[in-house]
Amino acid sequence: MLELLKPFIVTSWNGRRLSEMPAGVKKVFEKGRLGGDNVNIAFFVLSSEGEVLRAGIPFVQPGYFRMDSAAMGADMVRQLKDFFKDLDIPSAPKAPREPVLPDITTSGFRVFLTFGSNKINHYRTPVIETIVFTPELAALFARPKATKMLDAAALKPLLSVLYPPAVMDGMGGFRKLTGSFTLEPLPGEAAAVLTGAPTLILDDRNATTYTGPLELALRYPPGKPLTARGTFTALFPRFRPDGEIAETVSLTAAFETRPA
Amino acid sequence: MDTRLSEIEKRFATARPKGASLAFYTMDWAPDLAAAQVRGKKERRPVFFILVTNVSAATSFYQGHC
Repeated sequence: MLELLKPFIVTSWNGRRLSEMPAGVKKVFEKGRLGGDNVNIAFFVLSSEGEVLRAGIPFVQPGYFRMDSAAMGADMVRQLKDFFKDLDIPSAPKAPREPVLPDITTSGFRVFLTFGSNKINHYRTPVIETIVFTPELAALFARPKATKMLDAAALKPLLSVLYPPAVMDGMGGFRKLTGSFTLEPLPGEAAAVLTGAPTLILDDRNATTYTGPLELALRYPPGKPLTARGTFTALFPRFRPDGEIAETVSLTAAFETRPA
Repeated sequence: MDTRLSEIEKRFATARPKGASLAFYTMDWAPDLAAAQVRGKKERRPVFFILVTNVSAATSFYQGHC
């Protein structure tokens, strides 16, 4: 599928509903003449001049394919080939392209979320979140002179991204974030460690709850910005529609400060 | 010497995705439609635009959410 998309500049817009579309997106959507006011996913091809050449709604029904990722992938390739048929698409660059990861231009954190195998084969692509250092967050991570205790509220910007995708009945947030953390300077080193064990409760129907260790290694090189690396690991339950736990899935977060 | 720094950094290195698992990010992503259209015109290339609505979370497809 990635090969088929190589000739294109790829972009997306995500919203809770179509009424939230910004003007530029709305213009393209309307030119696509897809109709309806409840489109979950739609594809568009625009010419280099911005003309809408094609618009369509792909068939995405995991249940139809019995959650078989290979079958779903093959069918999506078939759909895309049909979608691009007879379009004058330039050939793709031959050189392999290195991954370009979501990033920030100011200082902050980049967080990689990966997930263990699961019955419905979700989470195959790592989620990459970014967190810009606010003055408060930068002050929080300033080199400590003595050990200090922090609560979950202080670390909310970091904890708020530890959210699994594909939670279908939540609103993308948390009911509660709790936990206490220790930020401890290391004697004789321009460094500190942050450790703690947050508990996260999603805002979904089942109040999905998970907890695990969070640890950061912070280095304060003289005359240079802070560098921090660390992890959070947990197991979170996935629920069946009847509220019973269907399985538990591992969540691993890797934190790194940016720019590197 | 406190070994906790290097131990945490080793666990980070293991946890950070690499290689083929990041293939999704080898696509030539633009951060939003407006930026894609500007680049499309400049580079004379077509744009593939994905529109997603999800009432439970307005997350970003580009960042790996669905």
